[in-house]
Amino acid sequence: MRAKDAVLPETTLELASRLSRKWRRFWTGLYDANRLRFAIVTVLIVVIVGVILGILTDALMRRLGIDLNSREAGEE
Amino acid sequence: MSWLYANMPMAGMEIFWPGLLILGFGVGVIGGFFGIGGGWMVTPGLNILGFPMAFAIGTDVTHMAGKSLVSTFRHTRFGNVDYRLGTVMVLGTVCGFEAGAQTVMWLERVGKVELYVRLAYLVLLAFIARVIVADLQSRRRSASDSLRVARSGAIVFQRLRGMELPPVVRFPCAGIRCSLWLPVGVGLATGWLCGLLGIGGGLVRVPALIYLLGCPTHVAVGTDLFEVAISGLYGAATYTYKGRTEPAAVLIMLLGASVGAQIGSVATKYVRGYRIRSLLAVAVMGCAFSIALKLLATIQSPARVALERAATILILGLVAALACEILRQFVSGVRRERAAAPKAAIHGAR
Repeated sequence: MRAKDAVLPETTLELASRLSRKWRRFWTGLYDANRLRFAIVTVLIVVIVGVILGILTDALMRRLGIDLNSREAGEE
Repeated sequence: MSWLYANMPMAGMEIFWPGLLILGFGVGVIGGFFGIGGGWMVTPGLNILGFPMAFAIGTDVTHMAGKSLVSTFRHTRFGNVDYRLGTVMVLGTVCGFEAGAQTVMWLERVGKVELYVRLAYLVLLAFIARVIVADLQSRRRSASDSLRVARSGAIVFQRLRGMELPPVVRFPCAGIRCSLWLPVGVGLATGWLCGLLGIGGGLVRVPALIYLLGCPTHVAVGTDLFEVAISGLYGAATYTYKGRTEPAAVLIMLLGASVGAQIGSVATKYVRGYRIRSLLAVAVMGCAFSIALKLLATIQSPARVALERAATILILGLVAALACEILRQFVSGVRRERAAAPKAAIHGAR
């Protein structure tokens, strides 16, 4: 049981570091290959992620029952 | 505790990622609540967390582009954006932004970017603190005093507006008629400031649109957001092209900012602003103090580590404290609204 516990974090750490290496290689490779493409990809990702997160939080607020349209509570 | 540090591939350094999340969330809440972008907090915050200044500016501008688009769409729905005025201003804003970005790159080449941008931030934060304190004082001042001060400022602006240098253009949505060079000039000046400091520029642009061009306030705010979105997109592209943006940091901050901005803007329904405004004045002064500590750390090498740590704790603590206060008021407001909802339904049924 103990041996199993010891292996798990090591595997997780190794997986995390492998993912981190891939992530690093992706961005630096993209920048080295073509700066214009790197700029376009980054801006597009940021805009898309920004809009998606905005829509998701909007939906979450409505689901929680927060009224985003009227200001009645504020006026009181 | 190495898992608390994430690798930033473009900047080539390890950064304390919960700090990025706190900064994104806190600035989102504060920006959403006060209607100011909060870029004046993000760039120094990123710099204090360890990013070189040019990276801090580029990352801030890119994160701003993702955030401002949603707000601009919301204002467009209410018809608050004068697209004709916005398009004319964009010419100046984009040119000004590029000039600001080139200034940063030049300062980086001569090795003075950290010092000069930090000093510029100290001036900007002093100006913001002055504006907030003046606003708080005007509440206490008599109406006639406030009117006299406003009139003396308005005369100067009216003279500037009166110089109708051709071509003179009419902006129907804002209901104004002025020389084309006036909005272009405002765009150029604010764009340069945005490119240099990595801020949205609303703090300067909105008063300029209202007093210098004579725009109605709601159109000034909507048109300013349009400018922020366009200059943010252009700024993100130009700083990324120059290799001064950290995409990993932008994504972590966006995660916090998207939730924070929503909470901040909804919180305005429940919170009375003046008490929070005095807290904002404290946050601005604290932010300036934190930058001063970081400046001092570069001069005082023996106490460098302690000063840098103090600057980090101070800025993150201030952002988190202000955001928590708004969050607390938001939660109690939501509870009140939910408790009132069943009563309203019963009254409606009767």
